[in-house]
Amino acid sequence: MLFINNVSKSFGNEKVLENLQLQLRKGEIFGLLGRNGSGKTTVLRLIQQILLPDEGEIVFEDKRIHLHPEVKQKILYVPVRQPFYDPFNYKQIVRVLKNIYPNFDVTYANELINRYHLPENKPFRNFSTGMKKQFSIILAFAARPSIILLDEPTDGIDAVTRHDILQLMVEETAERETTMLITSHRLEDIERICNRIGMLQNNTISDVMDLDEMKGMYSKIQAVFEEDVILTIREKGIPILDHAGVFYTMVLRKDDQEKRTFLKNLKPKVWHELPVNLEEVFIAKFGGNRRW
Amino acid sequence: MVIKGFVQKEWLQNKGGFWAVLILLSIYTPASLFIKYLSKGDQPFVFYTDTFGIAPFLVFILAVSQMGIERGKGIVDFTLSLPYKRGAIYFIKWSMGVLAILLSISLNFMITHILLDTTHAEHDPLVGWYGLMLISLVMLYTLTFAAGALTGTALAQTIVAISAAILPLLIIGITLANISIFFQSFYFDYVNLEWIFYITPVTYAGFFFDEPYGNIFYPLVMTVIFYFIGYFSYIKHPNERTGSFFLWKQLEIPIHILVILIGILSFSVFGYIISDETISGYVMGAVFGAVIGFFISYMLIFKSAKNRMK
Repeated sequence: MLFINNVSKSFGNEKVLENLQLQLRKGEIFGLLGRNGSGKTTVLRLIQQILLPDEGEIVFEDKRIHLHPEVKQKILYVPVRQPFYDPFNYKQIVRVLKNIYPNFDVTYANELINRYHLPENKPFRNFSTGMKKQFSIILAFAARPSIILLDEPTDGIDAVTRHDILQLMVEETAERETTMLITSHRLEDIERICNRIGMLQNNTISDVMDLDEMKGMYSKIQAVFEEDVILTIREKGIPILDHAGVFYTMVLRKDDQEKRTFLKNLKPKVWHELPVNLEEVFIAKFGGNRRW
Repeated sequence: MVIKGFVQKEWLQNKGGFWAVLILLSIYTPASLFIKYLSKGDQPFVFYTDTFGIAPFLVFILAVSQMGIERGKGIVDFTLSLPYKRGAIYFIKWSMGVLAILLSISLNFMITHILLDTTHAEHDPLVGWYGLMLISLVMLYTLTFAAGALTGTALAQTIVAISAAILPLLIIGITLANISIFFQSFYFDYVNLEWIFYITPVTYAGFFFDEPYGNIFYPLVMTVIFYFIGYFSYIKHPNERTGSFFLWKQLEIPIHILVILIGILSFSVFGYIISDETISGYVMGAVFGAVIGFFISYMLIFKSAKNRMK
């Protein structure tokens, strides 16, 4: 459906993305993970052609987006902030959007605005953060796109609103097979709604896989050792999630026999292997380069 | 239909600028004519078409609102995310500005014409003057608009537009002044240098209209040149909001050097004049100009971008 082919992007001398490859499938919710500054938002802005890639191309339904920007009628980007909306109310914004996006469904937008009790006559700038997010997402859905790019959709909002937004996303995907590409630091949200995830690290996307498959690749090890072995474990580069006295919680790839044998050779008194959640995988993956 | 959406968006976003041009530019000349008529007393009423008044300022504001302020507020991201080619976005934005100017000048002309007929005032031929005003304003608008396609902030757009508007006069003027210092025999015939004013955009802001310049060829050519400079910058340069002075980094060092050179050449002449025409005054001025030119351009081009990136 959408292909990112060998895309590279630099800002000045700083290389942000290099030979990025990614394919989005119809009707999936794809979570893009990465540390702050890893280039997640840049990926979304490149797809939407707000930024132009230095190399490579982005293809949607067999059309290169930069040569056929009209395909962006089917690709909506919901950024963290939407300053264009600020001075305008719902009706003014809808009047503009329905003329830009031919499939814009005003009835559906009205229905969602009413469902979530969002004000129609208040300027967008006077909304709360949560209302702004809901409002922007509703307008994006109402444009009836094939792909929605959501940058931190649940950041800075309360639990109830977050629940509503996530519910809305899942419904939209289930009913209309809309594809979503989401970046978020809230890993529990990603874990809850995404089918596939990709890790953005070292300027490229690695480990694109199904969420369950990824979680199945790792184990959480809880172990108790005779003595303090923290330095030994750190030197070996094993991510430690928690450490209290001689009690350690670590994350290991299931296929990493070398590290497993290493830990076993430390003669743990207690050894439990537990399933991991996404946050633990994230910490293991991205925290590996720092001193634990 | 799809284009209509963009026009609506653009109108909504820059309503203030468009209304300012449409109202103030339409009534400025008739209003000043009317005020003059009321205060004429028993004298015969003569109406001079001398300056463009606030008109250049209004079109300047509109272009800054459409480009620099849009980028400064981050709205440019929304604009670029829309399903249009960058070239089409640039053209529609520019066309809307030009249309607003055309509409206002036409209204201005009609109202002024009616008022002059009603008051039986003596006046110069109006059509030529209005034609020149229209082309001049479109040229100044296009210049400022193009500056917005090259720069990253409203302030940068303003500085680049004003600098470009005076650049030919400044560069040729200070170069000739420097030549005349070293080659005393160089004959400086100011009368024959009138052409510099014709190729200097700021002339068409109406400040130097001691005599009506009937030639619309120069502003027309300048409009085309500025339009295409802006057009290619808009479609080729990184357009996102970065806070940088220039969107295209490669421009930074050449412009930095140009500002230093202008500082050297202009302050050296100034130093030469205030030191009773001595070479030491010239050299002191050149050194001072280099320092001033360096720091001004460094602070504007490099330092401000660094601060914004923090």
